[in-house]
Amino acid sequence: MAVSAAEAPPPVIQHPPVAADRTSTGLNHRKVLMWAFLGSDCMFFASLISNFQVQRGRSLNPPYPKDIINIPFTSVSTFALLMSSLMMVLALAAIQRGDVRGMKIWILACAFLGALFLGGQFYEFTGFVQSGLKLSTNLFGASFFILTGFHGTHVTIGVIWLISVYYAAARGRITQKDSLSVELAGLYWHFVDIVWVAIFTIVYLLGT
Amino acid sequence: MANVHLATEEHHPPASGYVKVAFVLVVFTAIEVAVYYIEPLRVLDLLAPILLVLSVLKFCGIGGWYMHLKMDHKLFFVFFAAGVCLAGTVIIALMSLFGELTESGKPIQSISTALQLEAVKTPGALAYEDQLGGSPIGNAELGRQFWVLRGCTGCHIAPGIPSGGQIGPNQTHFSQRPTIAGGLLANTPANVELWLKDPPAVKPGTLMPNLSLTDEQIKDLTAFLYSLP
Repeated sequence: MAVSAAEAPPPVIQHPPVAADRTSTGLNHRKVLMWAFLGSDCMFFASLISNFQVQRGRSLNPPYPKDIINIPFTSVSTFALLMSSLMMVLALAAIQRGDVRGMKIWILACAFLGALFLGGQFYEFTGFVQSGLKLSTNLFGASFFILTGFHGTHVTIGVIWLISVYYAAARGRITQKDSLSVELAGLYWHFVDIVWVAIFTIVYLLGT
Repeated sequence: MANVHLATEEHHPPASGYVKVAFVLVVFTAIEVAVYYIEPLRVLDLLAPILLVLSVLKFCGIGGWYMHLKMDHKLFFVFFAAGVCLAGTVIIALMSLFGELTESGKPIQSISTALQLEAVKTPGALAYEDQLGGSPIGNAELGRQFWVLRGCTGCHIAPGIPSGGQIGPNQTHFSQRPTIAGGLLANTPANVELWLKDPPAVKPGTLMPNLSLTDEQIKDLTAFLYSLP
């Protein structure tokens, strides 16, 4: 009985044992560092989410969240970010099987969706300011802009990182054996996505 | 270096697996948005639990499959799980500390806020109501709640209420003061209400902001202030 591609056993990825990989844990230094960073970055967002939650419902001046937050619009932005994560894993899968061209296409698509999300956030922020909500208007404005603004900063860094990976691949500096470089960019990108999952629920859906 | 070895094998799912995960994530997000618009779920207080469960499932989907925590070395999982657990603990602890989980209408009934409110039930409040013939100009109890929940303690100390800032005047023995607003107004309920309505209009340059209080809130706060021992 023929086995379809979808049912094929998962590929075994071998990162080449170069000198730089030798560690007491047996794990790649760069990957350990990335996970340590992501673990610590959780605390960064925890402080901002806590701040938002603590200030929730305590604004004395309008506009209040219910007045200006547009759930359908943010849902589309969320969809774009979720799809960008799919593009990212497909880029990683492509480079791991040696398909540099495929990786470049997927990673460019990922960066485009990330930029689309940022454009949506810029549009949203502009609309809020025009509605009278600024950083100093009330507690909601302060906590909302700081939390979502710092997430947006993370997305911006991620987009720059993805474009850098694309250019490195375009110049032939990333091949199958360098898949870890793509994987690290992917870990960061998925983290940005995972944080947005929490922000979308807490700030947008429960905050209004 | 006898202990040097490489643990580099990772079993990543095929591309079709990633697409399936993406489909599930999109469906969960669509359910979240749909649930948001179902009014009865709000009334029954089911909105938050449903959204949080869906959010956790999406979180696990991205972390487990896209970030490969399900297949990767356990140390990476430990690093990330430690960060997430610590972050969650900090969020819950701070929300409890500031009464976000404990106020009426919030997921968990009062602990810290209730204790704070209980601590300031003073004989002075009853005395003030008695002075006005049992018909206070405002509700001192509501004024006290407003004082605690809206953060007046950020600038003022009030007897019996834990913590308090020193930017504004200490409100101990408020009813016994001859004047308010830095000596500008005589201490009468009418003047206190005038002051609370728009402090900068009464005294330009004052640090006390216009809090856009409603007439009812002003009356309640006034009653509370006169109730302080």
